[in-house]
Amino acid sequence: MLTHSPKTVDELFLITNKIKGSYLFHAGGTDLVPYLKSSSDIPNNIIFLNRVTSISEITVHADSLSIGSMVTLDQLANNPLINKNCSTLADAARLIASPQIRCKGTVGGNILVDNRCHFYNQSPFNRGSHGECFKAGGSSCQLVPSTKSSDHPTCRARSVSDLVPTLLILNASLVVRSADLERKISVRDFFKDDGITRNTLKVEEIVVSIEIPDQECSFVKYRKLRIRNAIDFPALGVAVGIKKSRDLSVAITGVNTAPLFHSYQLSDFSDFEQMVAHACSEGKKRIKPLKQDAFPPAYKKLMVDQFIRSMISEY
Amino acid sequence: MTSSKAIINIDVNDTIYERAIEPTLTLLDFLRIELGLSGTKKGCDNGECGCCTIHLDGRPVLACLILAAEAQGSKVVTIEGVANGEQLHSLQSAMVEEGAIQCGFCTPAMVMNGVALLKNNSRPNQEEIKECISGTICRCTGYTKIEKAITSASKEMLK
Ligand SMILES: Cc1cc2nc3c(=O)[nH]c(=O)nc-3n(C[C@H](O)[C@H](O)[C@H](O)COP(=O)(O)OP(=O)(O)OC[C@H]3O[C@@H](n4cnc5c(N)ncnc54)[C@H](O)[C@@H]3O)c2cc1C
Ligand code: SF4
Repeated sequence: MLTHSPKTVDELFLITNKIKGSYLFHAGGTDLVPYLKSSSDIPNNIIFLNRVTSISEITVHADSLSIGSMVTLDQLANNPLINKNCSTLADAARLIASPQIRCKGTVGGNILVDNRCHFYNQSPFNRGSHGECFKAGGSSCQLVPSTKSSDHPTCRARSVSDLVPTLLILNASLVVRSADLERKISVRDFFKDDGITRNTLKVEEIVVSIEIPDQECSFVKYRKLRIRNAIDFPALGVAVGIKKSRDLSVAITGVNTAPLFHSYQLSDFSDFEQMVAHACSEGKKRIKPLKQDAFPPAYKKLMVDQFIRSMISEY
Repeated sequence: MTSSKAIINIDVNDTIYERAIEPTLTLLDFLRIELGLSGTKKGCDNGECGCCTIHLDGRPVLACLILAAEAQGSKVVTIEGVANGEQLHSLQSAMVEEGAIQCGFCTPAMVMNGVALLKNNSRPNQEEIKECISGTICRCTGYTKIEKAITSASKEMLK
C-alpha cells in the first residue's frame, strides 16, 4: 500500500489520475482505520485529506452556510457560527462517539460513514467463523439469513450517521468534485437503500463541502437512543423540523439501511396535532428494526413516537 | 499489491524520530513497538475503550485509529511526556493522592484526557470533567475518584 498527502484539491486529482490500482480517501480515519484492520481487501493507495486546508473551513455566504468536509466534529460542535445559525447540528455533533473521536472524525466522513452490522463489524477471526457475508464478498447474509443470494444481494446493515438526520431536515447539499467535474447533490437524494454501496458518491469523487441554506426551518431538534451515553452509535436517531408555515419534517437514522426523510404539509391535515399523529404513525411504519439489534423492535417503534412528540412539545 | 515503506518524521515528547514504516502501521503500534513507549495502552484497538489516548498537535485523540503515516510532521505527546523530568504533572500527583488508580490500565489515557481539558479550561465543572473522560472506559474506580483528581489538580494549578 502507498500513501499520498496532497495539499490542494488540484494536486489530489493529479495523484488520482496517475495512480495505478485502487485507492481510498482518508479523512479523520476513525471509520476507515478499523475497516483497514478488519478487511482482507485493502486498497493499493490511501490518499490523506488532512493537508488539503481549503476543505476544512466554515464560511458564511449571503443565503447559506458552507462547512468544509474536513471540519472535525469537535470544531463543528464548538464553532460559534454553527452554534448561532444551526445549533442542532452542533448538538448532534456533540452526541457522536467520544471526545477523542470527535477531535479526529470529520463532517464529510460522518456523512459517508459505513453502515453497521454486528456480524460484519467484528474482527476477521470472529467474522471468519460465521462465514463471509455479501458485504465481505461472500454468498449469504448472517444478519438476515433468509436473504437469498441473487444478482442483487441485499445487505441490511444499518445507516448510522448522527449528522445526516439534521442535514436532511436543513435541506443541505453536498458539493462533490472529481478531476473534471463539480456537482451539487441534495442530501435528500444522496443515499441508497443498500448497506454495501450506501450512497451515490463515485470512487473518483470527493465531498468538498456541505452547504446549508438559510431559514429552511425555524425549529430543529435531534434526539438519539443508545445504550451508553458515550461512544455508542445511534440505535435510533430522530430529527424533526418545523417551518414558519408550520409544515413538519422528520428524519430517522440508526434503523434502516438508508436514512429516512419525510415532510408533511399542514394544509393536508385538519390541524397541527393531526399532522403530528400522522408523522408518528408513519415513522413507526417506515422503520424496519431487526430483532437482532440492540433494542427490541417494538421498543424502537415506541421511541420514534416518543422522540417526535417530545421534541415537538418544545416547539 | 504494491507495498512500500512510508518515511515519517514525528515529534514525540519533544524528540524528532525519523522512521521508515509500513503504511498500515497505527500510531499506537508505532509508539509502543517502534519507539518502545508502552505507557500508551492497547485495549480494544478499535476506538471503543479509549485507553490509547494521546495528544496529536495538542488535541486528545485515539492512537489506535490513526495511521502513523498520517501523523508525518505532527507533534505527539504521550503519557511519558507529561511529567517534567522527575516532577509529576499536578494531575498525575492528584491521581495518586485521590486513589484514582487501581489496575492502572486506563490511567495514562485518563491523565491525557484530563491534561487536555485543563490546558483549555482552568476551572472545569463536574459536567465538563465527566464529558472529558467519557471516551475512556475504567473498570475499577467507578470514575468518581478520577473526577475528584481532575478537580483537585485544577485547584492546585490555579494556586
Ligand atoms: C468507537 C466508535 C464510535 C463511533 N460512534 C459514532 C456515533 O455515535 N455516531 C456516528 O455518526 N459515527 C460514529 N462513529 C463513526 C465515525 O467515527 C464518525 O462517523 C466520523 O465522523 C467519521 O469521520 P472520519 O473523518 O473519521 O471518516 P473516515 O474514516 O476518514 O472516512 C469514512 C469514509 O468516508 C470516506 N470519506 C471521508 N471523507 C471523504 C471525502 N471528503 N470525500 C470522499 N470520501 C470521503 C472514506 O473513504 C471512508 O470510506 C464511531 C466510530 C467509532 C470507532
Ligand atoms: S446485513 Fe450486510 S453486513 Fe450484515 S451480515 Fe448481512 S450482508 Fe453482511
